[in-house]
Amino acid sequence: MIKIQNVNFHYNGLERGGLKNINLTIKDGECVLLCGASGCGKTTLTRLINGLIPHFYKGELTGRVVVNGKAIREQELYSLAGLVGSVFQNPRSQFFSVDTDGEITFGPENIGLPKREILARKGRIVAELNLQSLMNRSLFRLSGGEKQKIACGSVAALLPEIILLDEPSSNLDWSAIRDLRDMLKLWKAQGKTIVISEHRLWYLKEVIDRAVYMEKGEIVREWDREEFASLSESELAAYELRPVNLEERYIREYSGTESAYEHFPYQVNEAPRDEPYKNNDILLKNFYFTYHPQKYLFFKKKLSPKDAPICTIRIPSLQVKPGEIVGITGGNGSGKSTFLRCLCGLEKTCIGSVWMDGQRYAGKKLTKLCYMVMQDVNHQLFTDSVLSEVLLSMEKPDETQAKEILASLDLLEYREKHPMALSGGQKQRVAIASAIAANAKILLFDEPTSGLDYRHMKEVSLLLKELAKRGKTIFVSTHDPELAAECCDRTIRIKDGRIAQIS
Amino acid sequence: MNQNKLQARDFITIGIFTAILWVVQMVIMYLGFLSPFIVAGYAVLIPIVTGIPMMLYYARIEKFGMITITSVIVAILLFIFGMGLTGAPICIAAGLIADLIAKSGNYKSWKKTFVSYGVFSLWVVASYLPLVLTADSYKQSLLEGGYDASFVDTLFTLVTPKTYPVIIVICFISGMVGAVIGKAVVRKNFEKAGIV
Amino acid sequence: MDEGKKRKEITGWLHLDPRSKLLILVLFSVVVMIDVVDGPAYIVRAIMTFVPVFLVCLEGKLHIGARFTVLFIAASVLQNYAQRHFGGALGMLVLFLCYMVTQFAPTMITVWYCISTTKINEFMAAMNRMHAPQGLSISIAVMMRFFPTLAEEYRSIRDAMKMRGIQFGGGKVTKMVAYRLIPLLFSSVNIGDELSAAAVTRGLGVPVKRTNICDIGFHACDFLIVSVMSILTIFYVWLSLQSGVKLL
Repeated sequence: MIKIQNVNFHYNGLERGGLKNINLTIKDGECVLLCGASGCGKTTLTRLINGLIPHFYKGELTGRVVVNGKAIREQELYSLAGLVGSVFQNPRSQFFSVDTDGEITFGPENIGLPKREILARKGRIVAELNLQSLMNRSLFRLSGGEKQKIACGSVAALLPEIILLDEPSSNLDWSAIRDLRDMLKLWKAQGKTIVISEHRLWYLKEVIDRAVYMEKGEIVREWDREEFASLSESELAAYELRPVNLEERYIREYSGTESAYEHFPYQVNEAPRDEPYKNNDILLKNFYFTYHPQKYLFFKKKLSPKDAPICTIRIPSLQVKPGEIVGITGGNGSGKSTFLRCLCGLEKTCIGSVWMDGQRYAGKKLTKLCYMVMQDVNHQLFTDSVLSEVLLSMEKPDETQAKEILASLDLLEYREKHPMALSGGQKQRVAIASAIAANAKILLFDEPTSGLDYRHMKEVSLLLKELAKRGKTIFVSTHDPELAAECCDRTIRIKDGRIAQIS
Repeated sequence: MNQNKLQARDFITIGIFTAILWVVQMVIMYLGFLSPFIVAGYAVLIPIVTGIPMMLYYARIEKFGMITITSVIVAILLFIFGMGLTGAPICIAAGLIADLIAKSGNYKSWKKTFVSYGVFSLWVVASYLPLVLTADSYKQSLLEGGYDASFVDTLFTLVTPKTYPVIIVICFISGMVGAVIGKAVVRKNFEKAGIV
Repeated sequence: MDEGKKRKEITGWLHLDPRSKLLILVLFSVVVMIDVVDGPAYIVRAIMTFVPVFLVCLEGKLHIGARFTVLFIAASVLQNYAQRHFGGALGMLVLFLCYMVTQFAPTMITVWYCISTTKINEFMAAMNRMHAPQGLSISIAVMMRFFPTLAEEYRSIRDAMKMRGIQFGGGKVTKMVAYRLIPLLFSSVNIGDELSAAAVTRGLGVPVKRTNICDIGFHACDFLIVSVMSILTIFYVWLSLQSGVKLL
């Protein structure tokens, strides 16, 4: 049983994410969802339970947290290892080993269990969570979803009575989320207590017993499962939560397991073309690319359309209208991100070219024409203030113009701040500001809403529409059906690097 | 909880920053092979450039032992890359002394941090030592190998037993300069962003 | 992917003990420390260079082995030729490039082989057997795991730089360094914190004796390779002493 009594918490030197007057009791075997906007304190609440607060993240803590009769404050952090297991948001940074087997046995080895017991546990966990196909692999070559599965396995191998998950689905695609849901169901059937903080709600509605809604560090409301599942769309919108019930059409469009698509006739030589080509349209031609080109000793073979069978990306032609928002969907590993990388000229061996306003752009010219806002936007911020970040992108630095751009993105008041000190959404807008400053005509977004709450997702979608209105052509790759439905003029489904469907 | 003993978290910090330190210095080493002047310039370049990650590292250190362990790992790597025997012990000694200096300032005093990093930087000259001690035979073997006499002379005007103390001093000063620059960068970026 | 191929992904089917790999590294470092430019010792050195190349090829990385071989032979031949026929600045440059390849590439490929074929917990087990302090093992293990992460992060940062056309920092060396190093440090600090949180909640640092389920031990191939390398090293040292190279 988890008992949190009169807890107040404030991170050292941070305004966001504190907690006010939290009282919460979680019974054994219960599955509780923590929901609310980013920065409402859900993550902080999970850290109270696994002891990261106060032992790892420092701050002012008052009140009492008791887990299975142990007061967290008096425990050493490591003594909680066998009791509370935690799965975190970012699959890339939570593994210690380089191989999957070592990761599963990492926890039990740490607490010094006998070898035979560890092997038995490993066998059991692998069978329970269906990890057979992932064993003996390098963790660096797994997809985000696969890494997250291994992280779950690694936590489960310690046989904790309580499992915490902090936004585990942020970086996952549709099918990986369903695997995650199956894992949760299994743990629930085994009688484990589960606390999950999450923005995406649809996959949890059958799993949870109770939903706790937080706002600005306080618990504001609670629903039980039935109440929660029956919340109407407008009620959820009032709480700024993402939908609980997904419409059938989303499932059809994004699940990718729908049999209709399996038989979709590929048109290898000619792309599906729904309307005749007009001169001011933007035409993408010959996007072929592979990560494993035929290698000579020192050189790689130059690709040509004939190599289509071995290519990761094979899009002979695609036309879009200027000012259109094109959504790109498809499962992990279908080639969405790779396509975007080719489109902005990051993959040198890709032979694709773009025709726009009668001009042909290929190779290095593409990097001038297109600008990608990356999934991990932290990699794109180089300077020590928002303003200089924008100036850096301009061919001729012009402060007035830079300020105009910042004002149009609601960033003017932050112009002297360090980009890294901003929130995720603001960082994204800084990256967009530098794209505008660089005068890019085509903007590419790689998973712009992964891990965002409802309000921020809405904001991104409004922003994309606004950019399109200003004449930018936008490609956005996404797992987020709500975003696609919200703002895309049409969506392209990519499968095995081919365009499987345009709608 | 014993606050002075190194915890798992500290060991992870050590691993990460040592990895960064090593990668940065390898990059500089490779640039250096383009010219003998840069080879001699290691004593200046490496302490200054690695000053940036190292000052960020110092900002996260609160306990004794972290700098020492870093120097032990660097010594092991030096050994593997063939700069060992004489270089490795000096490297560890430099790390230990640097750690003690920083500790005397409780890891908070910036003046002591600058001195500490200056001492730590001496691991760079430690890797020169074999070159100095075996200068004659090394020179001979290069000449026998057909290297241009003027080139061999250039190399050995900069690094000889006579100039070696000067190089040590230069390296120490560069370390201090690197620490000041690194500290400025840390303040301008990492403190401003609120992550230190 | 079939079962056999999968097993190769990390340890390779040769499955040398990490301690053998360490020994190979140490022997190699002795060889690198003694600089010999020609004579019979050079031939021994060349033979030793190709032992790790052979190992790399055994792991199925034929193209890496082949590339290295071509590069190494080309550099050696060029070096030899340049020594006799080139002079001046060009000659120096060529010599230095060749020297870089012949001197450091063998160590690089050996280190790469050792790290890429060793699992973290195998390494921890080996360190444990050698009675190394656990803190040191954890630090080195994290470092080994962090090299590929650094490479991944650097690739993303380089891509972002390309998109903005700032790879050359506007011609300023300081900016070239800063634009690479600072984002890299930001990511490293974040990843480090998340990694620590994940490791600590899974019990890293519990003050009990850590179990290690890895079976490490010396097998026939360990003995074979280690003895071949040892004999060659002794032979090499003896030959270079004969030709008057001072040890240090």
